[in-house]
This record gives sequence, structure tokens and C-alpha cells, in this order.
Amino acid sequence: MIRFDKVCKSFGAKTVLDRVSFEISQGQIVFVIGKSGMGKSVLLKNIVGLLRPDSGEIWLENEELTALDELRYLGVRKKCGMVFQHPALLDSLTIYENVAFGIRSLGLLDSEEKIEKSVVEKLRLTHLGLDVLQLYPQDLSFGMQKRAAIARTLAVEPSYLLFDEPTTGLDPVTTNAINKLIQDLSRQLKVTALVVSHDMHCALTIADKILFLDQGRMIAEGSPSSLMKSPLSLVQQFLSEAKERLL
Amino acid sequence: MMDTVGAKCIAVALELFAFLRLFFESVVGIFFESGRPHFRLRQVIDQMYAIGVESLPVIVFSLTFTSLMLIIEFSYHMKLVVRQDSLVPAFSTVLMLRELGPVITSLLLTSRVGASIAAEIATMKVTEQLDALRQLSIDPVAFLTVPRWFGCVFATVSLSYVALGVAILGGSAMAALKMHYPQEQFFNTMFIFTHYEDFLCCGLKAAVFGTIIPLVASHHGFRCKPGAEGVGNATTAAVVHSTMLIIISDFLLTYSLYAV
Repeated sequence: MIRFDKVCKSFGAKTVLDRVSFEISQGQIVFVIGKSGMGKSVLLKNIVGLLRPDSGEIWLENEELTALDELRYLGVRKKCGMVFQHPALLDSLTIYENVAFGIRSLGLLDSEEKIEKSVVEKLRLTHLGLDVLQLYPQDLSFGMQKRAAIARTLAVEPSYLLFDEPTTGLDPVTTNAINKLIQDLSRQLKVTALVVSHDMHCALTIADKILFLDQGRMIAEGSPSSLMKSPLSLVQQFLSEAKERLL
Repeated sequence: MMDTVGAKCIAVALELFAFLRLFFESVVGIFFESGRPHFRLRQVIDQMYAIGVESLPVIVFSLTFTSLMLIIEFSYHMKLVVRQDSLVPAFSTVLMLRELGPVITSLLLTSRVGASIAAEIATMKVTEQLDALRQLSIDPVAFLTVPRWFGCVFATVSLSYVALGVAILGGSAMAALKMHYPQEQFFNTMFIFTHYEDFLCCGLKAAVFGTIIPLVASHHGFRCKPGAEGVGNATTAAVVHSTMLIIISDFLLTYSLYAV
């Protein structure tokens, strides 16, 4: 369970999150939809402690996160895997080393044999062939880098998956493949997924719940079917864009 | 007017505080992180190779030509003042050892290595690689700055000595050509003013400058603003500030080691 309770975050005079409250239940796929620069990525980074809220509370299961120091955040980061907007793979490491990186740094597995087995399994889950193992990130296409980044996140066996615009910059075919991947991973591994995106079409297809963020405020939330009836203009704009894509 | 000056002073103080914090985090990284499983010795060795070995030709080439220029200039000045230039090897070696060796080596490393470190870390910040490291419970300072610090100190000290050796050989060749100075006489004269302490001070200066380069570069990399312009500005600031700090610390070291 992830719960935000009146969370506020500002950068200088700009308020990015304004008393944001919501709750996500275990095993759900939740999409946060909103225009660019509305605080969606900030919301995710607050969960894993890369940013700290100015006020309010963030709960992960039974733990309140805002008061945790950097050391105690380690446990939270083990539970929450985050896939960034950029693939954020380390350029100096091969794909194998990148995927194994989290396992090694967190000391999750004790032998190289087990690490290799885990890396291969995660690459298989993300539909990447073993031929990429010894390649460097710059040798792969952007879509493949995104998949490798997802494999790296999965390698530490998180209970929560946080995706920051996972399909930005991808072609429609790869976008659909990544969205399908998110759905499959969430169902197969029984993890809770929180996805920040502009992709309303995908949200309607795979989300259990959709949250709308605008000007730092949560303006609407509900299941895809309930949001279809929303009178809010922003929601209707995103819905009409999704319908156009279907046609 | 006062508000602007005040704001600038606060900005400089904050910048200085951030730099000192990075320095202490790096020291902590050296002592506490080096024993942890993710501390990669291979990375330290890679940095030593990238900074040291790959910079060797540039440094040797530049210092040798500096040495040749010194021989010509000292010969001219000594002839002007005392009508003979027999002490040229002694003077040029002392100056190379005490000043030009470590300073030129580190200034060249600043433009070659400092710029590269700043650009690399800044790009990592812009592309969220630093966030990814923190998300995987890795301290970016321990992971990025500490190996570069080890590599840079090792490289600056060893490059200074190696390049000095080659530069002195070049100087002796120039002295033989220009002043018809026999090689044995050059090396005998060289040791008139050169003491063992000068070699130690050369190493000490190089180690201090080798600390400044990666720390200043990392500092600007970590504080890079978004976008390509941010990366460019971080790189420029790293080179300018490292250069200034090297020159200032050279004065302070020279003053405390030799003038007092």
C-alpha cells in the first residue's frame, strides 16, 4: 500500500505538489496522468526519497517515509524499484553489469552463478535476447535500453514498481510492447505498479485506477470506467486523445 | 545594489559549503566505502590508466618543450647579468622541480581530465544516472568521485616525476646543442641547487593539485543544471575554478614550504 496524505512540494516560488492525497492498494496498476511539468515525476521521486516533500505524509505499508534518514531509506529503495524517464543505464558498464549492478550493490545474491541466472531471467522477462549481455547501452536502441532498465529494476525483486513515463520517445509498436510488459510484469510478479504517463490510451487499457494531476493538484481519481463520465475538461481532453488513437 | 551583493555573497558561501561537503563526503568515501562490496578496485585502476597513461604523451611533450624554453631563457638572462651561463642546468632544474613540473602537469590534466570528469558526471545527472545510482543504494560520491580522486592523485604525482625526468633529459640535449654543454657537466651542475626536499615538495604539490582536479570537477558535475547548456557550463566552470585553485594553492604551498 502507498498512501499520500496532503503532500506539498515546491521549488522556489513554484508549487509542484499541492496537498496531494491518494492511496494505492497492493497489486494494483495505477496511472498518474497529467500534462508535462505538472509534478508527476516529482511525485514518484518523493516516494523513493530522491526528493523530500515540504509537508504532508507518505506511507509505504506501515512506514511513514518523510521522517526517514538516508540510511533508513535503503529499505524503502529495496522495496520500490524505479524505472526512470531516461533509461539511466550506466554507460561504462555492459548490459549484464548494469542488470547485475543492483544485485551486487545491495548484496542480494552471494555467488556469480546466481547473479548470472537472475540477470538472464530478468532479460527474458523483458523480452531481451542474451546477445545483448556483453553490449554497452549505447549499442542498443532506445526501446531496448528502456527494457534493459526495466530488467535492472526487476533484478532487485521489488514489491513496488514505479515507472516514470516509460514510453516517452518510443514508436507506437515499442510503446504497446512496453505497456504490455508493464501489465504482464505486474500480474506475473504480483507487484504494485505506479506509472506516470501521458498515455491515456494505455491507462484505459491496463490501469486499475487512474489519477489526474494538474497544476500540482489531484483533480480526479477513479477506475477507467468511472473516469469516462468525468465532466472535467482536462480528463475529457485526454479521453478524446485516446479515442482518436483508437480510430 | 546591496541586495545584489548580498545575494552573490550568499551564493558564493553556499557554493563553498557544497564544495566542502563534497570534500568531506569523499574523505568519508575513501575511509568507509573502500571496504564495501560495491567499491570496485577495477574502477580505480581504470581511472589511473585513463588519467595517467593516456595523458602521458601530452604532459611529457609539453614539459619537455617548457624545459627547452627555460634553458634558452636562463642562458640569455644569465649572460645578460653575470656574463656567463654555467649555472643554467641548476636553475632550470630547480624551477622545473619546485614549480613548473607539478603546476604544468596539473594544469594540463585540468583541461584534459577535469573537463572530462565534469562533463561525464553532469551528463549522468542530466540523464538521471545519478538518481538511478541513489535508487540502487549507491552513494554517487563514493562511486564516482573517490575512484577518480585516487586515480588523479596517483597520476598527477607519477606524471610529474616521469615528465620531469624526460624534460630534464631534453633540457640537457638543448644545453649541449645551444651552449655546447657536456652532458656530464649538465647533470653535475644540476645537483648544485637541487635537494632531496625539492623532490618531496614536488610530489606534495602534485598530490594537492591532483586532489583539486577531481573534486572541483565532481562538484560542478553534481551541481549541473539541466540540458546541454548546463553540461557545458559545468565543464567550463570546472576548468576555470580548478585552474584558479591550483594557482592559488601553488602560491600557498610555495609560501609555506619555502618562504617561511
